[in-house]
Amino acid sequence: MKRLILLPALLLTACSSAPVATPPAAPAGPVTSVKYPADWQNYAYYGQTDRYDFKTIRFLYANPTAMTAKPGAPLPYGSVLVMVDRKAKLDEKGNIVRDKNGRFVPTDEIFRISVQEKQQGFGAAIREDLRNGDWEFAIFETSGAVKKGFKQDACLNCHFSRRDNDFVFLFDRFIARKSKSKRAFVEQVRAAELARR
Amino acid sequence: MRNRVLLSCFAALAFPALASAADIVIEMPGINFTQKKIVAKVGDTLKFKNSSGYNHNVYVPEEEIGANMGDMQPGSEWALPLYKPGKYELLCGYHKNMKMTLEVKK
Repeated sequence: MKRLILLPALLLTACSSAPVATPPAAPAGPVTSVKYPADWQNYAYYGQTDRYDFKTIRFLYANPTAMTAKPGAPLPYGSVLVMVDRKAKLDEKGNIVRDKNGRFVPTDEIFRISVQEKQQGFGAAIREDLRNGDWEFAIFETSGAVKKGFKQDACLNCHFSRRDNDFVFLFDRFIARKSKSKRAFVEQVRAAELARR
Repeated sequence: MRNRVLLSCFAALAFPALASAADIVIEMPGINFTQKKIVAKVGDTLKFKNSSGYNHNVYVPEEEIGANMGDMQPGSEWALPLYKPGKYELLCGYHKNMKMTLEVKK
């Protein structure tokens, strides 16, 4: 009798069109080895990008070690790249306000501070299929605390596509431009900084 | 009526790019863009449609545009208005071989 009851139950389970729950992916590794770089405001500014999904402007900074990188070569150990997301100015309807060049207009409100750091030994505990060499990542509050619930998985996943460029998206381009026309570029960065103030 | 006609003429003369602005649709049906190259004008808008089952992350690395759409979920649509003439690359942050070129004319 017990078998007769169990059989329909088993059949129902097997034929059910409900999605089968997949086990959660194993975490990429430890939360992070990256420490908050409290002196990021002294780093070199190397560009900015408008982030459409978060409605932020991402300001990019590099520490002095990263600034010694050579075009086409991996970044040196000790490199720290910082991405500071400032909230964009919105109109009363919540639409993004743009400047005359079509760029988002930043407010003073910092949304988050993302850091990518390369150190010997970093990455050793990261899952091999996601490992970004000796880089690790973190996202911080302005207080310097790691964002609640932060996991490196999303950062590792995205930067993994740049494995041929030492896992960076824009810094390699910056270094290439810098080496081409160092003097002209410094003037350009200064002008961009002045315009931003 | 006469005023309206005059106003329209003035607008067309003052803002020629806006007067003929176009929406250019770029679909992402898989791990690719439907076009390899696009020639557009200042004032046009690129409309990205992610019709694939993958997440994408379209970005333009050149400083003149410096746009990053972020995480583009399947089925989502995003607009990128074009303000500056120049030649640019459009890339996907998640798929390294997914790229196209964009030329924006005055």
